[in-house]
This record gives sequence, structure tokens and C-alpha cells, in this order.
Amino acid sequence: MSRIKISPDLFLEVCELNKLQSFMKEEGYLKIIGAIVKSFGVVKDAKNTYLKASKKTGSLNSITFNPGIAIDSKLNVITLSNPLDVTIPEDGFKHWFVAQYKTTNFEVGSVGVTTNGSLTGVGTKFTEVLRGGNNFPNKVRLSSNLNVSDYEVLKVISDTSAILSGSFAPENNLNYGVVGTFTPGAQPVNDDDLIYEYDSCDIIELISEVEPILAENQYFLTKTEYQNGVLEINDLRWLSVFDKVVSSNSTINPIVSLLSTSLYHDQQLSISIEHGYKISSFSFFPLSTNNTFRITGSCNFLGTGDIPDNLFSGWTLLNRSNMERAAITSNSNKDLSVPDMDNSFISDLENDFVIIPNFNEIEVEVLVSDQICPMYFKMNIDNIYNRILIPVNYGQSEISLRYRLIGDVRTILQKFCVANFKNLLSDNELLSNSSFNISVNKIITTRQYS
Amino acid sequence: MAVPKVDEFNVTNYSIFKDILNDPLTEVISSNLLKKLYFRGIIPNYITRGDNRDEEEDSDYLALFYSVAKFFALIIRFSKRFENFNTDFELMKENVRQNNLFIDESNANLENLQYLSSHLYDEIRKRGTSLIFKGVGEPYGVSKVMPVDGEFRRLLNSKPNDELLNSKIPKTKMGWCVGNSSPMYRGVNGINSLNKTKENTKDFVDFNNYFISEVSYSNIITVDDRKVLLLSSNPGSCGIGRSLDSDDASDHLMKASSSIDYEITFSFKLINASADSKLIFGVEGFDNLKNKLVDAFITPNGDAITDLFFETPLTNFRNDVWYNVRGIIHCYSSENKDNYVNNLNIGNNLYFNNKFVKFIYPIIQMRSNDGGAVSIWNYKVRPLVLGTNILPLKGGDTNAKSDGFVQSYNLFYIYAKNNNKGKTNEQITYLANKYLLPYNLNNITIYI
Repeated sequence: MSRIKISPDLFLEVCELNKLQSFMKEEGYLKIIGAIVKSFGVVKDAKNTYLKASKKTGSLNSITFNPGIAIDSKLNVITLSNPLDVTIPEDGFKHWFVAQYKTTNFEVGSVGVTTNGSLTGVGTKFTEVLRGGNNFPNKVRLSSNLNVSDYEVLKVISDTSAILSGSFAPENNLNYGVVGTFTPGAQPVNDDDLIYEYDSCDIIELISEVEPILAENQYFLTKTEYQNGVLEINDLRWLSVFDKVVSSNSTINPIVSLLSTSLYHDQQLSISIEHGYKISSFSFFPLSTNNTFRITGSCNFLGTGDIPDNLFSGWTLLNRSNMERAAITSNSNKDLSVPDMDNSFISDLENDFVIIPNFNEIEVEVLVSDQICPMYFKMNIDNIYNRILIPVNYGQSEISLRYRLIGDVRTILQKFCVANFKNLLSDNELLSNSSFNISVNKIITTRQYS
Repeated sequence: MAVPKVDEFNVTNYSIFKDILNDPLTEVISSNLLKKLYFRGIIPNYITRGDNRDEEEDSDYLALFYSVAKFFALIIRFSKRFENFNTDFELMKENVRQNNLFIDESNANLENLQYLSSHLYDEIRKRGTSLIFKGVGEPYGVSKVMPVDGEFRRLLNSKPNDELLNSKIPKTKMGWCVGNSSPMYRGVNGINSLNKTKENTKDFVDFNNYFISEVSYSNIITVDDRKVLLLSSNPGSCGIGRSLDSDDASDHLMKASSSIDYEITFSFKLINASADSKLIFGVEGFDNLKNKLVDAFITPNGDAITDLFFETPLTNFRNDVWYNVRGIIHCYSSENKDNYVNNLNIGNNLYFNNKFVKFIYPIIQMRSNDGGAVSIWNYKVRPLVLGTNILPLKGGDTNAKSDGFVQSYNLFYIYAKNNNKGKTNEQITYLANKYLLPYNLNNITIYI
């Protein structure tokens, strides 16, 4: 890491201290973090709500951006602290919303000021940033066109109450910044006052029919347009996600089923298995605080078709057509909660959604009764249907099956589900205790003479 | 017998004989001695001379023995000075000088030199103490008065009306001390030893330490556990400072230099206000003779010559909080600034407008015809910064220092004017560090 060489006779002043700060920041942790981060953009929280746009409650033409953070390639933290409402005019154009970094000198909360200098805050932290009395009081500046001076703090009473010196035009809903305490008489340049500088977010609205070209460190948040008079919101946050992560833990359930068996030639047994659930049709409901993926069509879940609540907690919803995946945080019957999901998951042309455990691979163990060593077959978890071939001897054999899941962790070998499968005679047979019997007879070919 | 004609003897000004060499009395003694050497009786006969005692005939003899006579005359004259050593100004000065005491040679008088010569060790004893900064006539110790200027003053040739401040910076006011000092802050952090009012306490103690107008309307009372100066309703003005041109505050005036920024600070709390009551805050400037200068101060934008920081109705203030007021006087020739208000956003700060301001005295008064009262507390006058000026001078620069990066816990600040034509600022600093100040102090002298 870069450093300043501090020694007993070295003159330390503003330049040197700024450099020291720079070495710790730009040449320090920013460089380290920047080197290990794979992508920059909107940070995904647990429910993927950061900077998400949704229709403003009770409004037909306004959207609300959730508070949240994004991180650009300079590791500036683009921070939207409070919900932001934007009204979209029905002008026939597409409105694109882009986030970029900016700084603000305003403190948290809003303030009002009375004629005699009483400063009242909402959500403010006066005791943390203001100092009054005769002990180096600092000054504040208001976001006002009427009260435009820098006002010295006379007294800090609480986090929400303080007294300023001067005479004021009464106002409310102002922001305030801390100018600082400088040597009396000093005239700091504009860049030096307002000493607390906070990360903030600049949300830019671009009106364009085609996707605008963004400058460096600008990130799409959403696109809006009116369709038949109805405001539609297209979430674009997926285009730039900070350090995108797709894995999550999953609960291990007995999910692997034997589908069918058949002979391939006379001494090769074909075994078809499945380890996920295929979804034939669905609906997607993006909400401001969550996304719901509803299974509307058939699903190869056994039984009545109802799925126990939270059975899929920790599983992965995968669209095999574009290989986008999202973690399922919970399910209520066929309503899956998928906060990570966004518009990038759903293809306009074809979708092939499956639900799979959150692992990378599945390994199947096959033990034939007259053989000493079992056979192992490893398959990608994304392919929920697989077929394996094993050699068998003529005569009676018992085939035992087990599987394990392989990801960041490995599960122990466990039995297949108790379920029906097609046996060699194409009859339904119940797989119990994860094993079944087969009888393979040698086929005697009879020469045909003419 | 005539003395041989000779040119005047030339000698440098540094010679100890320069004042007596060509003095008439020396000449008389020389002639007298020559006479003794010329006539018979002293010089042997075998040293021949003319028969006729003729000046022309004995010119060689006379020329030779006139030199001898002159030499002895010089010795006699010079020796006779020592018979009255104590009244010989030059000898006394040389005596003091050779004993390594610093004196204001341009302003020395025999009386001072006699005192110093008879108190050599006492003067050396005063080194390293605050007595080296005291002026003649200033009280010290128990009922004592300085008989001569302190040695640092003598080294500077400091005049009675010259600004001279010193302070050993308290440890809490150095470097980074939470609530007391900050590394890059260049203010004086409220150091009491730089205060120019007669009381260093925040509370008012003695009425007589201030020039108060309309004494009957001013009182020292207790408000919020503070001893305050209460100013109450008066048809005219009452409070600190003069209210009439005829008021004589000469005993209370504060020495000042137009080359330094000053701050006048006080706290006040409104007791009650009437529609007519006003608080007046200003400062007056005086010349060397303590006559008021009407053009002493000017507003920072150069628009108006004024003595006032502000004059504002008391109804502008609330009565539940102490206001801390700071009026700044920036030094002469500071760069003009627009929209430069004081810390309360009321009125303005001031610039010195006259280089000949030698004294100042603040005005903190209340004026009312129909009631109102205000209490004043913690009234102080100090230099504004550790240095001379915080605002750039016209065509110049700032001269203010922070003490945050001084790796010393014994920092000593001096604000002084060097009138010693024979010594540079660097020499003064060197001599002060070597002879006058304690060795464990790190001295920073601000030359005005």
C-alpha cells in the first residue's frame, strides 16, 4: 500500500494529511475492493428492493424509487436515502431512469426555522453534527432562498431542536448543511466549507425511443412508458448488478425420483431419473418490496398438485432458455417469492423454467446386487432429466440407487423418493427403499432357414 | 610659548578617546605639560634646544614633546573620568554593555544606567521571568513598581505605547485537545494571557477595571450563576466604553497596533427588551496622545468609516439563550471583502483605517428610553490569530499560524515591534532565546 514516510523532522500540514487520507482510501481499501469486485451497479439486498421503481401508491402517473445503494467502478457508493417520487407525463415517449454518483452536504432529516432562530428538525441528529455555546460553535447553511447566510449555532438542545443566531424568514422542509468552525475572520473557499460530504444519488431521466448510451458509471434503473394509457414499469436494474452472486443455501429434501427403466440391448439397463420440477406456465408479479412467481400450469410435483409452504425455500428458479437464475426465499403453495428476479429472467420468445436445488451437480450411485463395486454418475444440476446406462448380468438382480448433491458443500448419499416408475415391463411399480429388482433373460436367436 | 600648529587628530567614533581627543581642556592640559617639558627642570640639558627660546628655533623640540604632552594630557583627561564614574554617561553605558545587559541605547539615560549598573545581578535574575516584558512604572510583585523597562523591552527599544504581548500557550490550547484546540485552527483559542482587558476571568469582578458610561445604570449581578455586567434602561447610553466625546477614558485605553488583527468578544443575554432599546457594539481608536481618531476604522468593503460593529434593537434577540459576539478588527490594508458580516449575522466587522491608531477601547452599551436590560459576560480583547493577520493584505499575504504541528509542550508566543535599528528580527530572536527566555521554551516571536 502506498504510504507517507513519517519521520521526526517531517513537516506535516494540510497537503500531507490529505495525501495520508488518499493513501488509505484511493490507494488502499478502494483499490483492494475494486480489484476483487466482478461487476458494478445496483447492490442487491435480501429482497432486491434497492433503487427499485414501482408505481406510487394511489397514483396512476407517478413512480417511486426505493431507497438503496449502487456502487460504481470508482467504488463511489451511490446512495438514495429517501424514497423518490417521479411523475411520468403521458407524452408517448419512453422514459429511462439512470443512477449516477453525486455528493451532498446536507445532513439527514429536514428542518424548519422560526423568526427568532429556533431550528426544529425531523429525523435530524443535531447533537452529532452541531456545536453551540462559546466552545467553537459551528455554522449551518440552509437550503433556502430566503435565509441565505451561514448561521452560527447558539445552542443545541436535542437531536431535533437547536437555536441559531440571526433573524430569519420562517420556513419549513429545508435541508441543512454544516459549514464548520473556521478560524474567526478566515474566508474559506467554497470547496472547503460545508465540511461533511455525504454519498448521494443523482437519478437522471432520459427521454428516448431507443436505449440511451450511458456515460461511464451511470446505471439503468428502470424504463417507463404508457401502454394503452397505463403506465408500465420495466425494471432494468438487472443490467448492472454489483458483484452479482447467484448461489444461496438450500434445504436438502429427497427430490430425486426414478422415472423409468428399460433394457438397452440385452445387458444394458437404462435408468431415467429426475431431480427438479418443470413449470409449464407461470405469471410474474413484480412488487415494490418483493417479486412473486406464480406457477399457473402443471408441475411434476406429486400428490394433489399443491406444494407445501416453504418447501422450496433456498431452492433455485432457473430459466433454462437463458440460464438466468434466482434464489427462492419462500413459497406459499405455488407462489414463489423470488426477490432477485427481474425482467432479464423472462424471455420474450421461449421460457423453460425449472426449480432445482441450489447445488452445482448431482451424483447418483447405482449398485447391482451381483457386483461388488457400485457405479457413480455425475450430472449437471441444471438438467433435471437424465438417463444412465449400466451393465447388468443375465438373471435376477437387485438395483439399489442413492444420490448426493454437490455444491459448496456435499450432502451424504441418500435414497430416492418413494414413487412410481415404469419397470421393464412398462408397468407402474413403486420404488420403495430406493431399490428394485430386474430379471434379464438371454435372448436366444433362432436361425431362420428358407 | 605657542603650541605647535597641528592638524586635528582623527579618530573613529568607536574610540574611547573620541570625545576628549580634540577637546579644548585637553589642549590646555597639553599646553601646560609642554610648557613643563620645554623649560628647564624636567628634560635634561643635554637635550639641546635653542638659545633664544624661539618657537622657530625649537620647532623640532616642540613638535616632539607636544606629542608626549598630548599623550599624557589624554591619559589625565581619561583618568579623571573615572573619578566620577557614576555620572559619566558613556562609562555607565559601557559598563552596562560590558556586563551583557541589553539596553535601549537610543533612549538610554543616565538615571537608568545608574540603576542598571547598581543592579547588575538583579537584572540578570529577572531573566526568564515575566519582568523582562514589563515597562517602567508597571506594578509587579507586592507593591513594587518597575524602575526601568524590562530587558526584553530594552532589547527591542520598545516605546511605551508599542504593542507587546506574550503568552506561554497553555497545553490545552496546543495541538489537538478536544473542546480546546484543533491542529489547523489558527485562532488564539481564547488564551487568557493574551487578553487585553484588566480581568482574565469570565465573570466581572471589579467595576473599576472598566470605563463605564453612566455608572448608575450598570451593575455587577449574578445571572445564570455568572457574574455579569447588567446594563439597564437609561435615557442615554450606558455600558462599557465612552458615550460622550468629552469622556476621559485615557487610563483604560488598550494599546493596539494597526498591524494586528484583534477580536473583541463577549456574551450577552437579554433580560428584557423594549421597543426602543438597542444594543450598541463598537470600538474607538486613539492616537499616540490618546486623542480620538475619527477615521480609525472602516467597513470591510471600504464603503463607510465607522466605529460600530452593529447597533441593533434588542427585540431582535431572544431571552432564553446566551449570545456570543465576536467583533473583529482586521489590520490596516487588509483586502476588501463584500458581504462580510460578523458571527451573529448582524452588522459588520471592521478594518483599521488609520495606521496611527495606538490605543483602542471597545463600546458595549445599551441605549433605551423606555426600559430594557441586558447582561454582559466574558468580555475580552485579544489578537485574533497566532500571527498578525488572517485576511490577505493588499498585495500581500496572510500571516497566521496554527500550533497544531509544533512538537513542543512549552510554546511561547510574543507579539512585538522591533525598534532596535541595530538589530534584525533574527538577531533579536536569537538574543532573546539565548539570554532572556527560559531554555525550555520554544519561542515564536511575531514581529509587527
